[in-house]
Amino acid sequence: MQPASPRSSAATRASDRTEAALCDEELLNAIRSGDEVAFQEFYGRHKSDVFGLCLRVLEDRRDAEDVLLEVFWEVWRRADRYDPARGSPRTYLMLLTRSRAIDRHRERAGLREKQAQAVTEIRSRRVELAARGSPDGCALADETRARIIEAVQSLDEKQREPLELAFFEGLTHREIAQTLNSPLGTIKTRIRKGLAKLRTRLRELDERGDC
Amino acid sequence: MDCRRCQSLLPEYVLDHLTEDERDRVTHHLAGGCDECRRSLLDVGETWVLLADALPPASVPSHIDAAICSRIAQGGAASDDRRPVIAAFSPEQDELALGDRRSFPRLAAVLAATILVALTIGGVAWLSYSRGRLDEWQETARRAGDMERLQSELSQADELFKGGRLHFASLRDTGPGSTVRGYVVWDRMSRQVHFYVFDLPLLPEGRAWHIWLLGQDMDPIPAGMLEPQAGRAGSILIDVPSELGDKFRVAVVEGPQETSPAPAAEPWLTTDVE
Repeated sequence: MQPASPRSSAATRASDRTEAALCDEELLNAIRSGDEVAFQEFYGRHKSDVFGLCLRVLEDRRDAEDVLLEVFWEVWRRADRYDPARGSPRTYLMLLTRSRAIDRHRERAGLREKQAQAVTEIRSRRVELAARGSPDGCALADETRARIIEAVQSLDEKQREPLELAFFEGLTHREIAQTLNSPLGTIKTRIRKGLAKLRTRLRELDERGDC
Repeated sequence: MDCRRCQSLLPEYVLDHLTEDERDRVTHHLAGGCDECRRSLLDVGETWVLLADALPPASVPSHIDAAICSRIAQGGAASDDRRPVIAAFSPEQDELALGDRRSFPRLAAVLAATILVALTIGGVAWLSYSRGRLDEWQETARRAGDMERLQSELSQADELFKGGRLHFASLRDTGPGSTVRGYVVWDRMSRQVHFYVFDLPLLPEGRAWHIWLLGQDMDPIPAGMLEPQAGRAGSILIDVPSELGDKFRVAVVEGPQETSPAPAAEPWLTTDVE
């Protein structure tokens, strides 16, 4: 019986992200001690993904550059804020980026205007999600990103739209309900089910990647 | 807060979309060591981030790379706490590490360093003392603030009841001489029911108290379960689906601990909400 290839199990494939997460944790620990080399490694590994998210939320290059600087400056100064109980270092970094980007976005636009624009943007934008060759500064392999894109695209519009409004536009569930003229309970259900479906679908794709 | 309620709030919790009160309650529940909810927190966080992972990465301009490096180099230590408080003193060289040895006579330099150390120790001691006093003052102010806040909240609640937003009802058992064993406060605006029960009979193992919402011409809607060990008293915050409208019944039914699609028996506690 041949031993299982270390790259053939779904658990191992999913742990591509886990292995990076372990290294990221070590880097954050080192950054906490003032290790500039560790910080440069962490920055280099994630800068393109962080910048991509900033551009998506802000749609303004200059604002996106400012937020990128702000995020990594905060990582450098307050690496002690990372709590492993709340997620991987990447999860921490991307949620921090999202939060800072939305704060900047809110400063620029009034709430009503933002709500009205948010839906228009989500619906009119058909972001061509494609795992193109990635620039430097991406922690995700192209193959991993392709699976994630497939999982996101597998969501139907009714689930995907509220998820995107919440994550990229920073709308609360109540604001989404008002904007889409849907009951609050319905929006909460769609978001909950959308997240569950995304998780399940990615797991299926990870397992299928075996074949 | 029970696990069902906590997990229903985790998607908003991760995105920091909860009210301060809800956020504190979720944090408190997680800090209490609930492993299932902690695992759910990790899952929810990572799933939200998948939306960002699906985005195309973007090349960062080189001037930004340079700006980061420059800022780190100029900003110095990652934490201000790690900056040295006193000048480095090198006994082997018998001089201050800062400053030119020719600027100070050796004795004067040693004296200056000694005074500086003494001042620093004194300063730290004074800071500790005043910090302790400050903590006391802050605690007194916090208590006064708490009382003021409580009075304000009671006044606001009074207004909300008078204004019709809040509705209060007693939960009574269905036995002869029906006795009050709980309360319900129905908030029409948030569509939430604050459900509080006490003095429930203890149940045998494997049985639990289930809460149901009953509307006209609708299947009963499950609204939570009181854990057996807390079967004597408990409180839950329940989201009421809009399909129920403003007139429905809250019922507590004894049943098996596993969830079921329908009440297992007749309600033991009930009240009408409208």
